[in-house]
Amino acid sequence: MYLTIEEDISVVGVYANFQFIPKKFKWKDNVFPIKEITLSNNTRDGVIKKRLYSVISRGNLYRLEFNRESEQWKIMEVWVE
Amino acid sequence: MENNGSLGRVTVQRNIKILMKKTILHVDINSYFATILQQENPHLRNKPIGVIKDGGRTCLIAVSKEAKKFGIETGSRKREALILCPELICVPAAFDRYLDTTKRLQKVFATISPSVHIYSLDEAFIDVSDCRKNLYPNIKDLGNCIHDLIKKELGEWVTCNIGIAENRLLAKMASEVAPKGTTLEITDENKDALLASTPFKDVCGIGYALSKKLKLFNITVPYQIRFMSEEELNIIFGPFWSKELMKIAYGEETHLLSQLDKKIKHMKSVGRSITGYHLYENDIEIGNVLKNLCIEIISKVRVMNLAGRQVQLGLYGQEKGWSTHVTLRTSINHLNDLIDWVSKLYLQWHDKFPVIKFAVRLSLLKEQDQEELLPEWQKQEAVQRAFDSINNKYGIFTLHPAAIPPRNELIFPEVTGFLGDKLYQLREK
Repeated sequence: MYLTIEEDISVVGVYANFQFIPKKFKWKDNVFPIKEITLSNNTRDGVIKKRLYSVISRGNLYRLEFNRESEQWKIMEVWVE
Repeated sequence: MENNGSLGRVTVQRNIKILMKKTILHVDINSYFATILQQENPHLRNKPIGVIKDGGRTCLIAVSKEAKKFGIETGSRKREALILCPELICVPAAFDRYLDTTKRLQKVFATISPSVHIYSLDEAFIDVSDCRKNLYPNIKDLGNCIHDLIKKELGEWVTCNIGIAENRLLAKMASEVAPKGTTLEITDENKDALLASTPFKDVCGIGYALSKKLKLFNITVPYQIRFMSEEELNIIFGPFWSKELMKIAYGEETHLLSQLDKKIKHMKSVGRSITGYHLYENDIEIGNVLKNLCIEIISKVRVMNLAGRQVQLGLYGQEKGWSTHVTLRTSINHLNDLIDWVSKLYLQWHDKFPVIKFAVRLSLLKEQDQEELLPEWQKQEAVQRAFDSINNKYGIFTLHPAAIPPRNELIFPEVTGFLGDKLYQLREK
């Protein structure tokens, strides 16, 4: 099941092929290297555009959200068995 | 000489027929809702999963191919599915992701041919008739190329079935019966075999009731219809379906699918239905849910600059159902008006029962090309415009009537697999 977290995080990544690719994120003073982006999508809430990333880090799946208006990153959910 | 002339004519006619023959591809993503969730989450891959609308829901709106092997079907109840497969994992749907994924697929298909029709959230018809000769001389290679393009765009886990045929009916039938993740081309050689082996449930346009009626006459595959006379078909199925069934029997495109060529200027109606989390008996609670649905309808109608003249209301319980409608003299597209008319219709409901499903629809839509001059209408329009601009900027339900369900029970817009509102969802912004 997905456990809701909704907390601010910091993200480091690279730009390649006109796209931002997150490489690692910092949550609660821990750095999580991103091994794989399994899915990414654009969504919008009103005029606020968001980009959703599902990433694998240390064997766990995290759902990250980038608010393109406020340029803030959030960790939204984590998959727990 | 005369003989040579007629042979030449036959050859020319055959060549014209080949040139005029269309080539349609039907691409169908396998178990779309479940596959996307499995692509997203490797922990779910190779496992039986059921997709539910939201936490607390009990109806499986989609199931993975692994769950289908246990006999679990779309629409099954979670409790019944867990009896068939105790290891079933139920995961909430990610509707906003599905819509974005479909838009990405649309872009991929547009690189293949300019003639693409998104049929539903996970299905598309691609007409390559005009570009086949020069771009795709080997149509099976094109099929393989589409499989690769989809994997590249969405991920390795996402597979699709591709049907290739001279029309949409056969192309869709081919993709229905093709083994998962493969391409099947229908030619003159295997057309009859397809029509003689495909059950009616896999034939586009044949609903549950019609296939049940056909079964009563021991007709289970389209080819069997060829052995019935037009008179017989007419008596049993009526004038419309007798013709349609005969077309299906010979693998010709049906009326329903040929309608896809028609350019639809705008949506004819916008509706919204929802199954509640529990049975509703309280008039205020029911009213709040209906207002919630009205907000979504008016928001969509106004974005498309439409207004409707018919309001429909439906309430459904566990065993009973009630519905009614009113046709108005003038078209409406203000939230106040829709809520007023829905409330008036609601007052006509006397034989009350606990409600589980709610449905509101605004139909007979037309383009709102001129404004009314009445001062009252102008006032309402000004309020509605302010309402729209706030909600368009900060999200639906930022501003709303005082009486709607609490935030955690709000019904948000979502896409359906059928994508009945594709003109709205896939519109150019």
